[in-house]
Amino acid sequence: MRSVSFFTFLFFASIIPADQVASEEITYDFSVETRLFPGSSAYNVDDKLFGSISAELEYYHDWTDRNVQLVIVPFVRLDANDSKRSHFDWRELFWQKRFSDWDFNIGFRKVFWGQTEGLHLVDIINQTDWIENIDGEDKLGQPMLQTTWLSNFGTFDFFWLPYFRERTFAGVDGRLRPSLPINTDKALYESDAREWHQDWAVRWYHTIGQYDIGLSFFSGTERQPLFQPLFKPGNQIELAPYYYQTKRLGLDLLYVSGGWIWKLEALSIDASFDDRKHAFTGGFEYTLVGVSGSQYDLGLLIEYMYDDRGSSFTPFEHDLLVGGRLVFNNVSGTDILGGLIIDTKIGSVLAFVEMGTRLSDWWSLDIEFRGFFNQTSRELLYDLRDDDFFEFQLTRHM
Amino acid sequence: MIKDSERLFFVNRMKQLMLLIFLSTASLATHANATPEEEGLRIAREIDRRDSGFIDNTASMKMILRNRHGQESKRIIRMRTLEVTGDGDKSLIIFDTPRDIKGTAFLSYTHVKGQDDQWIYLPALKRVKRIASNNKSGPFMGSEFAYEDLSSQEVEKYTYRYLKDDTLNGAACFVVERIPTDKNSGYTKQIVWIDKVLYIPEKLEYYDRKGSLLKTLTLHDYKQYLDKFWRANRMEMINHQTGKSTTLLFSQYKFKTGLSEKDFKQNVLKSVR
Repeated sequence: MRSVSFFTFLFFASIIPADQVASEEITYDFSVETRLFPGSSAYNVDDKLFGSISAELEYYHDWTDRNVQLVIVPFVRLDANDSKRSHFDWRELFWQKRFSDWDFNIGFRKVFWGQTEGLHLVDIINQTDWIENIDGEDKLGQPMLQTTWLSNFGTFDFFWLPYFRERTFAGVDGRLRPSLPINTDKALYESDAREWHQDWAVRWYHTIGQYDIGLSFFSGTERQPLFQPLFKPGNQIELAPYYYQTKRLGLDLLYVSGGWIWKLEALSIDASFDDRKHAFTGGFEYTLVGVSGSQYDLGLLIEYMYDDRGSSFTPFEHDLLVGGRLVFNNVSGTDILGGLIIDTKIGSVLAFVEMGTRLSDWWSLDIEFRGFFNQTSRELLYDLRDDDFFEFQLTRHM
Repeated sequence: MIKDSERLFFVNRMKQLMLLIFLSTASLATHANATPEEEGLRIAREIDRRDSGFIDNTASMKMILRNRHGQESKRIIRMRTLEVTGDGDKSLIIFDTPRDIKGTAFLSYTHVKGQDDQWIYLPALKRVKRIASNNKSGPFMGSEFAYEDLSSQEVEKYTYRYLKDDTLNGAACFVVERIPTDKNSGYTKQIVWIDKVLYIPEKLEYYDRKGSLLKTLTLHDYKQYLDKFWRANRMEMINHQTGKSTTLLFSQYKFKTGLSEKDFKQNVLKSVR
């Protein structure tokens, strides 16, 4: 990875016009994070209190009336317990040129596709930084050449993804991992080109009145690996991530009317070793503005999840998310999101609560809880059955 | 010394002015026969007519929130507006502070008829999210301004009734009652004081769903741009029920900056600064 970053950096250094400096900005975020696990894990890690610190810097520079931008966002975390969780990433490191109907981007970027809240099925461009959080919302920067065309009949995004980023996983001393350790140094690939497989993707999205619609196609290395057992001397077993090739056709759809927002994401997946598979997730969020005369907004959230890729790939084969979002509309910008994801056939439950608030103009606090209930040995989250945890994150913005 | 040609010019100008005054008195006379509803609508249309043709504008805004104990909290916001002929305006609001929401952007397409389209961009997730269109009565950024107070004021969004003439800070004003047509509005009615000469709002009273006085907005430090468009550089909103207040300070107003439809697309939110 280091060599890629270095060459990308050299490339930027050569294309930046030196004489048209318009504006530049640097901001920093420093966070202290504590995770508290009330119980011992199901896989011989007894540590209950985990501590780490992280920093993210954002450097921004533009030229010629914002039509040329350079964005550099390095991220680093240092973890006291799990050495694997101490990691560095170029979250963003890209150069952008805007023309009237076209955008052109080169470098490491983050791109999000989708509409639903519980599960992001269609989203595929960036690898998940799983070691950051198992909610899958932290992403690794993805090297890309990307262009956007703004037309009267929607926006078209074209992606060329020349290098694949492997998913991050907790190490042997970390929690929130399978009982068998994952050896990320032994990753296996279907493609002989390994991480240099040339992936590509295209997406069209458009707003038509009360509808937002997106259609996408991706061809390349699936971001979520399967696992193969590795037998080591002394009867020890490890898991090796296996990254296979896939073609994915995705649809995301949203309809808004008054307080109702209806959302759908659907996916058709074609992997070489299997039949064509399908997955979808959809439901609604209904917002009550100013609940019973107060300034609070309450959102009710229900989404169904279906996936026929099997229990070794996803814990969400036939699950129902029931949740709520409380927005305080106060000076501190406080909000709370909580819910249950219930397996409708087995009855296992994943519970979560996320709260965020501002303490001052420079400090903010995030608190999170995740709990795993009624997990059975047939499910992917079985090894996390004793990994209920609370997370506290205090951030200083500069 | 005034030259003859100039003197003649002045005389002609005076004649024009006299004619104008005569005509406007004549028109006032006809309005005397108009119903209060017709007169209210005429005033609203005249405000709209005088403010149309600005094409686009940008401005910086400082928002000062005060609780009932006088403790202050500040936000810095930038605004871009595109005039849309035949429909409501498009606007983009970008937050610079507080730092934890820096880069968050709010995009809205207001419509003369039907629901407005609104999106919020969350920079941490790189995600553009559509938001429910019934939130217009909700507080904007924890302030005493609701979304609907700050959105584009289209004539069709209210029904009107002229109440009386009044004098506010020495200026002659029309006093007009307007009732929101949207059932999602947080107000049963608003009373607006409008300067009779300039057709600009000087003061608004907002009445809540129970019909009680909720808030008072006063507009100050009006400046004229491009010899046509009047903009208040300071707005004060006081909530009578909570004792909280919000001040908006506007600066760097620019008009006809060359913004286009493309600057108000979802895609732009991702690289907006």
